[in-house]
Amino acid sequence: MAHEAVQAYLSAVGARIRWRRARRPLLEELAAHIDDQAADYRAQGMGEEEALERAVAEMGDPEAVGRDLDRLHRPDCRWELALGALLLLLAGVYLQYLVYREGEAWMMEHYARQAENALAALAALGAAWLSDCTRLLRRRWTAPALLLLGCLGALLLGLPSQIRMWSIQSYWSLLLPVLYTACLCRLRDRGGWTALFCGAAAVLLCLPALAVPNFTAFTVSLLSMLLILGAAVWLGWSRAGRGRGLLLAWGPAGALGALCGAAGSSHGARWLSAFLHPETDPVGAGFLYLSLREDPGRVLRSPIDNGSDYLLAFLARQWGRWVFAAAALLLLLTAALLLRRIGRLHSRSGKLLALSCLLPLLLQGAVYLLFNMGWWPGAPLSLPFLSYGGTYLVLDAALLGGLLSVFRMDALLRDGASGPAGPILPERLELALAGGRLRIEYRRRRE
Amino acid sequence: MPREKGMPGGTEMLLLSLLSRKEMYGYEMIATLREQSDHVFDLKAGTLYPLLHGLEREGWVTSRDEVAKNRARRYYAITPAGRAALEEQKARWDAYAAGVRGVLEGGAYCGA
Repeated sequence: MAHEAVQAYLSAVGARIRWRRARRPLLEELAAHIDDQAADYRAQGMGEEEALERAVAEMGDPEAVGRDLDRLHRPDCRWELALGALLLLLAGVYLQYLVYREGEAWMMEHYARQAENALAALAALGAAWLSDCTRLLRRRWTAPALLLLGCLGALLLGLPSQIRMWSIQSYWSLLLPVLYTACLCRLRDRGGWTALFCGAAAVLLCLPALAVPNFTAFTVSLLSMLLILGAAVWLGWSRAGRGRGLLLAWGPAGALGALCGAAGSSHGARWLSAFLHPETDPVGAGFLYLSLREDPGRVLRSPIDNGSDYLLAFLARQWGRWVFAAAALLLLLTAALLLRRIGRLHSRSGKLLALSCLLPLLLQGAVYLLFNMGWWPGAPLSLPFLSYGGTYLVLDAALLGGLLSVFRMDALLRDGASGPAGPILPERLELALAGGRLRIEYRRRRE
Repeated sequence: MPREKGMPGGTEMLLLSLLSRKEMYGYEMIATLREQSDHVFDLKAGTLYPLLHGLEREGWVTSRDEVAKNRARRYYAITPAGRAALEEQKARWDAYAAGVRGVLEGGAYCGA
């Protein structure tokens, strides 16, 4: 009888909460409160039934509670960001058209493929946006299992050919920070050893990309993860404190850098020298850097090249070098606005997860811009949403969708385990109550 | 956000004050508030949680979930912005209380 009263109360509150994903965490909190209150009454000598009934009576009007909770828990959809992504995608399709119309007729196939990929990217963005990003944090083994599978997959799939490995490591480098961050969130409130472990794990997870070698994939994923780890330490994720925590977290990457510097190969030194002083070898290793810095037209031989790695250089040749300044300004403005918005998220886990989606996008853009200006030593990955490449387009859209999902789910993102992990079926909830389970089902009302 | 308007402080100031000492879960807050106010503030859970979630939305408190003894509990903690808001509300409350006391006691003396 008393359990029915609890069920009726929680059902009445839940029926007022329109956002179905919000019901479970909110009702769990209320159920835990009823449980605590009933335990208190039992300690005062009341029977089980009476204690539960009194506890429910203490909760207040379920309609009013449900209405208030509903008002405070609405998805934050951020349509302006999705619209921005759509405009970028359209701009990308248009820029590809400008590039490929200069080539032969068959090259327009690339353009058609890019336009099709833009649709796939939109679908990926929508799917990621509507997904429940809290699942990555809520389930203990999901993120580590995906991280492990991804690492194994990237290694095994790339083995047959080094070129494939190059691409696979590039794609993997974009997703790696998200899964790393989901694991990181579960390791909060621990000492300095955990910060050191996470710093070392970031380096180890990126090393396969360096072995390929795909210097840019290595840099983008490692820098993303180190920045996320730094942000986590700064936000009080580690008990080691900010100074010591940062030292321990970034120590392994610093040690790797020092080791690479000390054991640098002659090939590496030549490469670095050509990048820093291309004028010393203007027709050899320094040709690309010197051309891009002084006259991009010298390296822009075919529209295919123009459309993939040299889009900005191609546009700069057509319209002038202000294209670089405009791209840098757009990148900085986007970064500032989104970082400001991320700073306003409520949970530390939400902030870190949002950073893990944003940083690979920003770093890709920065690397692409620097490469096109002749100031990046390796090959770029892609210019998010603008440059040619279907898989990159879909992955970047998925990352932006992930960021939108974090913004949307902000009210539900919490630090720490969010209750016993069970399947979330918004129409059917099972909550722990007084040592047993309480089952609530929502059915559509027939008018 | 459910907030008492026109009067400084209110329930949210009391909740922030409780959380400024240590992090607490909902039931613990109601029990502590009841005990420390000698049963003057006997908050209903239905009032508490919307208030807490509103404070969380303002960025004044933050919460984390913890599972202990097979029971999930949500602990709330005050943020630096919440401490600043508490200090501001305390100052306004002190001024308000001094004003009320002045009226009840027949007016404050000014000068010598």
